[in-house]
Amino acid sequence: MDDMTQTFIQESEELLTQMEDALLALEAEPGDSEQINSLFRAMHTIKGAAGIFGFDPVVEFTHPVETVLDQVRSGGRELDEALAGLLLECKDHTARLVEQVTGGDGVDPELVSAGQQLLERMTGRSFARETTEPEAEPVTEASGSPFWLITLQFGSDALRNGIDPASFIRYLGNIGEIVDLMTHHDHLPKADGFDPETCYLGFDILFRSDASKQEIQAVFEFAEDDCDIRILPPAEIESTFEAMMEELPEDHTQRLGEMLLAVGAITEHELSTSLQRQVEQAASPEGDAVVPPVGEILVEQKAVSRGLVDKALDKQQRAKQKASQEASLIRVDSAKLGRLINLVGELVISNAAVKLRVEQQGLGELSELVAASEHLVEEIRDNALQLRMVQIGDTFSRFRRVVRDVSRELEKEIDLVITGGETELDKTVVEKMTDPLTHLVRNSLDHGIELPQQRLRAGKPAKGTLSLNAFHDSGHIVIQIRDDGAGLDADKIRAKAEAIGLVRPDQVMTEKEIYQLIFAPGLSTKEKASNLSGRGVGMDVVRRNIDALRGIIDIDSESGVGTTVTIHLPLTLAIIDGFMVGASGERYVIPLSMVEECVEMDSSDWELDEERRYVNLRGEVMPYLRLSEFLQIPDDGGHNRRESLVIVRIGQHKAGFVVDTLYGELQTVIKPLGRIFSGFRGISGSTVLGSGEVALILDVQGLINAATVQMQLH
Amino acid sequence: MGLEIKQDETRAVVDVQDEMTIYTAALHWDELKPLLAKVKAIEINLSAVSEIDSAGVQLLLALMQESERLHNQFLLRDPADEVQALLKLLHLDQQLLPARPDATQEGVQHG
Repeated sequence: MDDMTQTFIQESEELLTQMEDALLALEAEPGDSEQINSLFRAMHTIKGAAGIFGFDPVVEFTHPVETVLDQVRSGGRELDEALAGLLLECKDHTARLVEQVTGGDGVDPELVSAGQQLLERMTGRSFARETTEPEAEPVTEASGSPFWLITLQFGSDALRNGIDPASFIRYLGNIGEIVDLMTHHDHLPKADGFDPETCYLGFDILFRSDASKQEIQAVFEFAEDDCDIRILPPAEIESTFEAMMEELPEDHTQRLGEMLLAVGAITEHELSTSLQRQVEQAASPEGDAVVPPVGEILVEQKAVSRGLVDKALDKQQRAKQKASQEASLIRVDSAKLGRLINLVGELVISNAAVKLRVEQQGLGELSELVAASEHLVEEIRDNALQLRMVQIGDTFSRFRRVVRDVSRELEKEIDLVITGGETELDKTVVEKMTDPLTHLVRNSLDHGIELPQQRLRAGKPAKGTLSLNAFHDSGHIVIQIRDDGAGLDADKIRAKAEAIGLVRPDQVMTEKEIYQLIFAPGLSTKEKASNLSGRGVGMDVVRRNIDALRGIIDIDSESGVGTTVTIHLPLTLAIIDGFMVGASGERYVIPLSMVEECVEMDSSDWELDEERRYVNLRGEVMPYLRLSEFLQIPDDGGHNRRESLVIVRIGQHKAGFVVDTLYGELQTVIKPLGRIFSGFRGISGSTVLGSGEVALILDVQGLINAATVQMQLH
Repeated sequence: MGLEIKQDETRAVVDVQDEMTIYTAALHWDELKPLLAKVKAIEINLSAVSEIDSAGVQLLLALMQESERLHNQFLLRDPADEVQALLKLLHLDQQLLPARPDATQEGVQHG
């Protein structure tokens, strides 16, 4: 697929998303003209672009939709709920068409006929045949005549200054044909006020000529000072102007007047008079009156038609928008960013190597330089990572549609509340979160929020609320999906889990642990599987996806009040600040954001209970792990090692890791482990140290879980 | 040269033996304006007009307008070719010139 097609696909996607957003916004605020325009623009632009590429099926479908939207825009048709629903379908249909026309296998005839039916429902007309025949060119509106319209209003001193209007009109006859002429003498005063040497005359002339506007203007050159001359081009020339306007290079769109001048729609004299008038109005005593834009003055003076000015303004606007978009955004292939971040990773490692060497050789005078470059590398790292950060709001907004569609389907009334949409996280994380989030949202809609009658019976408002929230918390991003529905039924979940042998009937479990069971494969408490969820697949996939992102998922639920699913995710998957520890001579890295505190061995603050596998830190009891033991590293024989305790925390989960050495902070470039290590518990990746050694990155979540299990078993 | 004005109590006939331009407009106006108030009909013979420009046309328009205002008869007769051409150019011929000499004659006599 070539780049242009790629661009078409991308832009269509963006426009369709805008269209959907606009439709949903219109549901909340009907009649918002901005949004209606946005709808129209989306269809219009896709149609235009598809036309350029020769994607006829897209053009054939979007054209009637655009027509309908134009009616809506002009107030000829109301955008009611039914139409909004149809337009959403049109949006989906267009997306499918774009997909198929760019796919190269042509368009499925079934899809075409589906589109025709959609159009029929929307317009009440049949499109079955029309779409296969080239559409008749719409009759151009007889808005303008084929003639130039020249309006002359002579100044009062014209005659005295030796200007004879008649002679100019006579001369005009030399470059064309005066089709009609009207002499205006309605300014003639009554006899008492009449001065025979003052000119009161004006003329409207319909003129047929091949001459340019400039040539016509030149006829009146000598009268310019004593005459108000307005020359309106014929309709067909007008359309030439419009076409020329369209072709104007974008760097020539700074000034409206210059644009109009460039295509020959106005003359320099007209422009300078208008500008002069603008200055005069600005300087007039009632100066606080708004100064009309040049375009307004030109239209008022009949130098150009309003249509042309609008066209020029439109072009100007688009150029501006494009310029500002170009100025603020650059599209970059994400693979390039990936390469950059890899390189920054290498830079971090090689800088660490330099630092190590400098320390080893005792090159004191170099250490300052190394520290400075280390600082720079850190900044580069942060900036490079920032490049991949995107706001989660776009992802959240997608659920507006899901919520809307699902709540209709289930006949529930549900509001979606989005907060924290500006929270940023790595694009790769966002992409991998879309599916799990969809599952969770659908689950809340389907299982969580009750039918309106049930809600009313429970003393809750008929309309349920689903909130999506995101915020940052100590190096993590937290995403919450909260509903005010019925809450999870712990007994039901437990019964089901026992039935499929997931837990033993005598097993003691907290409510929280029971809630976690819904992430087990094959568990769904919904008696009847609906279209949306309840088939017992999905939640386990959610869990797996989030695990893969080194994230954790928590569920809080209260019967009758609602359910909150909280997901903690690391901000990035590439480079982190790490904390290095040693155990049995090996080095391990713990993500610094998860380290709560470190306590020395000889500190009286903590005490291990080796029997019951817990650590008592200043009265707080938490599970612990001895790293060397857990990771089964052969003991290096140093029995008298001074152990230290590292307290880690994720969300509300805490644990202590007993280690031999605390090395301190270091920038950690995360290298994924090979497939061979994928079953290896407790390790999530590796990193290369400045010395060239490899250190393993601990999977804190996995270790906390293991420690918790150990503590419970004893 | 100038204007030859024949006048009775209700009617004036003006023979323009002159050019009708910016150079003569003020003079002509000074002579013709008082007539407007005095008579009920004015007939202007344009057959001897040697030259006419916009000021001349404007003068004729002013005379016509004032006559209409006073409900007077106003008639332009036998325009010279140049006058006719200019009035035609400015599409004022139908407005200022009688369609048929007979009709105008009648208009003046019985008006």
